[in-house]
Amino acid sequence: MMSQGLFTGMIVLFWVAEALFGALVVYWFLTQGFDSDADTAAGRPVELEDKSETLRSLGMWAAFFGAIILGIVVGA
Amino acid sequence: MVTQLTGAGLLAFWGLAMIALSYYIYRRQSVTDTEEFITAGGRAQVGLTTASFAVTWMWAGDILGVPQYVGITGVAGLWMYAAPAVLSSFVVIPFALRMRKLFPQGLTYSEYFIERFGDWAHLAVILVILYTMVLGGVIQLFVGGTVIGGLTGIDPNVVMAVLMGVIGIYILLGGLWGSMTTDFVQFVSALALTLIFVPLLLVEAGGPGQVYEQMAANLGSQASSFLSMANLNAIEGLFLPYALGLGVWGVVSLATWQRVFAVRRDKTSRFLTIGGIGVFTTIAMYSVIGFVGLAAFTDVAPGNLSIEALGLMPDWAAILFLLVALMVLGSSVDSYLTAIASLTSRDIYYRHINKGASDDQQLRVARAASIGFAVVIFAATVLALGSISFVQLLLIGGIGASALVGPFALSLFWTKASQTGFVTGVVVSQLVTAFLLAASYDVVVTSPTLKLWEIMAVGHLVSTGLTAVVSAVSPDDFRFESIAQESSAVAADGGVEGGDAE
Repeated sequence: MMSQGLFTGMIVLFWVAEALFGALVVYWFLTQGFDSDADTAAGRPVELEDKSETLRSLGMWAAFFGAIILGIVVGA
Repeated sequence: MVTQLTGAGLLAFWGLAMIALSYYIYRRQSVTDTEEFITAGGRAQVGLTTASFAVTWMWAGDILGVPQYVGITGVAGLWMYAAPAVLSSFVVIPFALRMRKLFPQGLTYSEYFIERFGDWAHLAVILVILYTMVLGGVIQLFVGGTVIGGLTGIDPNVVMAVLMGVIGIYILLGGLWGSMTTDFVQFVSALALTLIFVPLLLVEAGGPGQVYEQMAANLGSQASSFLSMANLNAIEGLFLPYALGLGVWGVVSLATWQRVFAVRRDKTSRFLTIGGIGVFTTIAMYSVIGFVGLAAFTDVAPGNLSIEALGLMPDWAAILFLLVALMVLGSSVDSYLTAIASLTSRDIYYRHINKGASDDQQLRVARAASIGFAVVIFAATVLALGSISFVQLLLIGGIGASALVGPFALSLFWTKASQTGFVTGVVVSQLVTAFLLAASYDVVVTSPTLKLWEIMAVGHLVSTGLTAVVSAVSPDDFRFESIAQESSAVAADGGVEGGDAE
């Protein structure tokens, strides 16, 4: 059974994580806009992402699932 | 309770704002051809696409579903609901990278099946996607009618008719650009309002400490299990069917694929990762509604926990909540409606009815479909509202995914996967799961009675197994390079330079 402190901390953690997520996406939108008009106009090819980008994404997923398992163990 | 007049005013405000925004983007992005309408030209930036993807996955259903899970199993309901919900974003990454390498010029992912297999496989896929997308729309609208109608006193059917009417109109105007732009506004609004609304609800209930103590007091001997993250009592009823169905639903969802094809190719895994993980945090926030409900009531059924807990709030906080509901509901339903319009125009009309259709004709069909299917989703939701519970509807919504995910994966990575194997796997799996589902709910037949997760598992095994076995017996020898475009110069819009969009 999780403690009161852990229960409160969990809610605070979710609040902070959601705020950071929203801020990141809004930052991307403000700095990049709707579409890559300049690239389209220049006709430059856009390659698929390279492996390091994919590995970075998979690393984030591994950390995310690890955090969930840790939360289940700690909050048991 | 919010007055009917206030509720009607909110609906009117939301409707006018969304239609005005869609009209603005229609003019700004020149949504006058099929490619712009269906894929946003394939050049949308990662911020816009991530917001759109994330808010499409923030289902209005979560507002009912997460508190219901918490009401059934306690704090563990949080991850039992949220983890499978975001699993789709992870599972779809290898599919998305492979598809964008092989098929960068695709408008709808279902068109890939024509190139890979042929018309029969394509028709089987269309059928599964179509009912899956309609079911997705029904799930969202069901919540709109229940929650908004429940909090304002307006007839749920009237609420649903207004919601579908507004969404149909703004998709008619802006297509995917309209959907993604309204999604972005809905994303920002939903997050900002949730960040304000949840602390307000907690304060109204006396703060997190008071909620914890009151939950422990109300739950009595059940407190130790309900306040444990490792309470696995409901894993078969809640977690497994969600993980096996909606947990892979993103691979099947045309709304997901539209965003995969819309984003720049070099940002594919990034938007799926940030969007998916971000959705978890939002869904997790809705669990607070369930915690407050458990703290305030001792004898409320889990399915009613949301409405009862939200009824504790003062009117102005309820208005705030209604805005959140409208935002997340609109974003999901508009995505499914755009997907269905694309499917009707490209996959059914252009590919099977009028292969010589001009771009104008395809665009007209897409726009007509967005209105036609708005009516279909509305009618189906009215029927569902009185005959099935929300969680039943939600979990059954994932059944289509069990038929497609395995065969789709085999088709992408195994040259011997054949049309005969693919169609056999998909069709037989759907027939078997439909039979098992009917038997479980005593519709026409009464046995065998399996749990929902077992039906999903059977669906996956039959579809993947049959596709593999039949393909091994009657193999194809497909050359992926015949559709691959890797050697071609791929333009910034994701298409092939000088190539036709078809």
